[in-house]
Amino acid sequence: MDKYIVTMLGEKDHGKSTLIGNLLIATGSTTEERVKEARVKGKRWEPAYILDSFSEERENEMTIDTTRAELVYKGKMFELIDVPGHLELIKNMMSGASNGDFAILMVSIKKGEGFKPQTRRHLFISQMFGIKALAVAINKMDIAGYDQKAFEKAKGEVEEYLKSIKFDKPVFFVPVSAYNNENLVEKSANMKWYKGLPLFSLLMDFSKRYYRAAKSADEGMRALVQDVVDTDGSKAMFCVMYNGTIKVGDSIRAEPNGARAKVRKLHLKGKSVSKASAHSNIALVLDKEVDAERGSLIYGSAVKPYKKGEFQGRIFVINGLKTGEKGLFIRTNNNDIPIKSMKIVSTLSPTTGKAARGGSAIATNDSAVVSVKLARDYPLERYVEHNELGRFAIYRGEEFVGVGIVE
Amino acid sequence: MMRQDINKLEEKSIFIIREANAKFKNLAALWSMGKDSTTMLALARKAFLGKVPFPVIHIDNGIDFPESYKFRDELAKKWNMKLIVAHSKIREELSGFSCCGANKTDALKEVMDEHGFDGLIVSIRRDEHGIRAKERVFSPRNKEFKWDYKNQPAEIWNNYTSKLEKTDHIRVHPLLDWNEVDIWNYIKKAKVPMNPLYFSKEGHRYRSLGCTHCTVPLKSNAKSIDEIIKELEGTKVEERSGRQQDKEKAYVMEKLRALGYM
Repeated sequence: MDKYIVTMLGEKDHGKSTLIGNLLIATGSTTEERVKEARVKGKRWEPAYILDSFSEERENEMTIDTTRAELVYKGKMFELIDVPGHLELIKNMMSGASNGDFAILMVSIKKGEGFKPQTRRHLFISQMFGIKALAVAINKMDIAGYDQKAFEKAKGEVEEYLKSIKFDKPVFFVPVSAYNNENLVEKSANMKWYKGLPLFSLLMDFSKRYYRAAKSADEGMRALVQDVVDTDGSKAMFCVMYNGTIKVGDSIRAEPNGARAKVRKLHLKGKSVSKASAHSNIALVLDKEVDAERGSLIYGSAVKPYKKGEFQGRIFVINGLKTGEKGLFIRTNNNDIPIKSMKIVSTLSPTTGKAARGGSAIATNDSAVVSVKLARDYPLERYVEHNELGRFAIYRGEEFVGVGIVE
Repeated sequence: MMRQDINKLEEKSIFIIREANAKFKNLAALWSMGKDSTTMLALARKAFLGKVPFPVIHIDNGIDFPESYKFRDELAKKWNMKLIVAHSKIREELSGFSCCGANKTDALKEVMDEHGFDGLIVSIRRDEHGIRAKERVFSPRNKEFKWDYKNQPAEIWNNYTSKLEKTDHIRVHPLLDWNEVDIWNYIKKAKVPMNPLYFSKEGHRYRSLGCTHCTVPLKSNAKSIDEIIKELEGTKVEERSGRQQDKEKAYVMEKLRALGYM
C-alpha cells in the first residue's frame, strides 16, 4: 500500500504535536500503552506527549527533533512528520520536510501567536521541496469563540503571503481546535458556518486527487552510479535508476566522457533480469569497460544530460554565505562536489518579501537565485523535470548551510 | 498494523546498504539472530549479488537462547558470512537497564576498537519505540558512543552524513521505515530463514528477542508466518512489551540510546 508523507509546518506552540496526538487517538492509530505512557503525573493531559518522547521535550513542552507518526484510517496510510517550530531547529525541520508529499500548516489564531515569520519560512521551504498540496489549519478556534470573521482574517493573511511567493499548489483552509478535537476527523458542531471537509478528510482527498509520482519530461533512461565492484572477473556497476527503463542489449552512454557501451547483464534484487525500470537499484555489467565511477551518469543513447559543471538554481540558506568564500560544496545524491565560484542573480527574503538584484552575500534565512560553477563535472538535471537529479544541499566543511534546486 | 509496499521498502533498504558499503572504509553489521537483523542480512545478499560483503557482529553475553546459537552457527555457515562473536560479561548484580547499558555496550566498544570499524549497520525500526522515530538513516556516535540527539546532522533527501571530525563511527539504519508486520511479510516473500523462537510452542512465542534474563514470551498460538501476520494485524499491544528494559522507567530507552545501546 502507498504511504503518503505529510509534513506539519508552523511556529512553536501553535499546536502541531497536539494535533498529531489527537489524530492518532481519533483514528485508533496508536497503542493504548503509548497513550498511557504519555500521561505525565500532575500535569494537564497533552496529546503532544505521545510524540515528544524525549524527556526534555515533555518537560519543556517543545519538539526538539523531527518525529514521525503513522496514521491508518479507512484503508489509507499517512506518515505525519512533526518538525520543530523553533528557528534554531530549522535544520531539523528541513530534514523532516524534505521528503513530504503534502503539508499541513498550523496557524494559531490566539492573540500574540498568529502568522509568524517562521511560518512564512516553512511555507517557502516546502514550496522548494515540491509538496503537492497544502492544508492550512487555523488552530485554537475555541479560544477565538469559534468566530468566522477571525478565521477569515487569518486566512486572508496567509493567502496574501502565498500569493507573494507565487505558491502554485492547491491550498485549503480549515478552522480547528486541535486540543478539543474539532474539525479534525469529525465536523465540529461549534463551527457550522464552515462548509468544507474536516482536516483528516482533506488529507484523504489529497491522496486521491493530488498524489502522483513526479512526472518526467521524457522517458530517457538515466541511472546514477553508486559503486563499482569486481564480481567474477567483470566489473559490476551498482546504479540507482531514476528515469526510464533499461534492457539487456541496450546501447548506453556513460559519463564522465560519454563513452558508448552495451548492456551485457542486469541484476535486480540479487536476480539476473532482462529489464529494469525507474526507482530500482540495479547492478549493471557492460560489454566493455568504461571510465564510470561513483557519481557518473549512465544514460540512454538518445538522452542529452542537462548540465554538468555549472548551473543556475534557487537556494535557501540557514547560515549566511559570501560568494567569494572558500570551502563551500554541494552534496547531491550523497556526493560532494566543491563549488568553484558563485554569482548572485537576485536575493529574496521569504519573511519580508524584500527582493534585490546582484550582491555578494546571502543573509541567514534568505533565499537567492545563483549561478554556480562546480570544481568538476557532475551530472545535474532541472528539478521540475527530474527531482532526484536536480536537488542538493550546501555545506561549508561539516556545517550545513542550505538547500537548492536546479532551474 | 497495516502493510506497506514491500517492494518500495526493499528498494530503499538495498540503496542504503549499498550506500553504506560505498561510503565507509570498514563497515560491519550487528546481528542478534532476531527477525530484523536477519532480514537486513537477507537484503544485503540481494544488494551484493548473493554475498554479505561485511562482517557481522554478535554481542554474546552467554545467556542467549540455545535456539539462537544454533540458528546463528547454521546460517553463518550457509550464507558464508564472516561472523565476529564479541563476548560480554554478565555481572550478576546488574539487571535490565544497567545490564544492557554496561554489558552489551562495553563489549561493542571493545570489538569496534579492535577492528576499527567506521560504519555499523543496526537494524532498528521507527515503529519500535518513540525515541527511535527520531533517528537519522546515518547517525553519528562520538568516542563515548553517545547519540547527540539534540544536535543531529541535517539529512536532506538522501544526503547523509558519513564522517564528522568528532565521531567514532556512524550507525546506519536501513530498516528505519519498516514496521513489524512488514518484516514478517518480507520474511514470507523472500523466504528468509528465521529463528524458531518466534513461532508458538505450547501456547507461547517470542515477539521480540533479547537475552534469556530479560525477555518473556507472550501467549500465542501463531505457529506459522501467516498466523503471526494475522496476529499482528489485530494487536494493540507494543512489540517490545516483553522486554523488561523498556518498562522499568519512562526514559530508559533514551538513556540506553544515549549510552550507545542499539
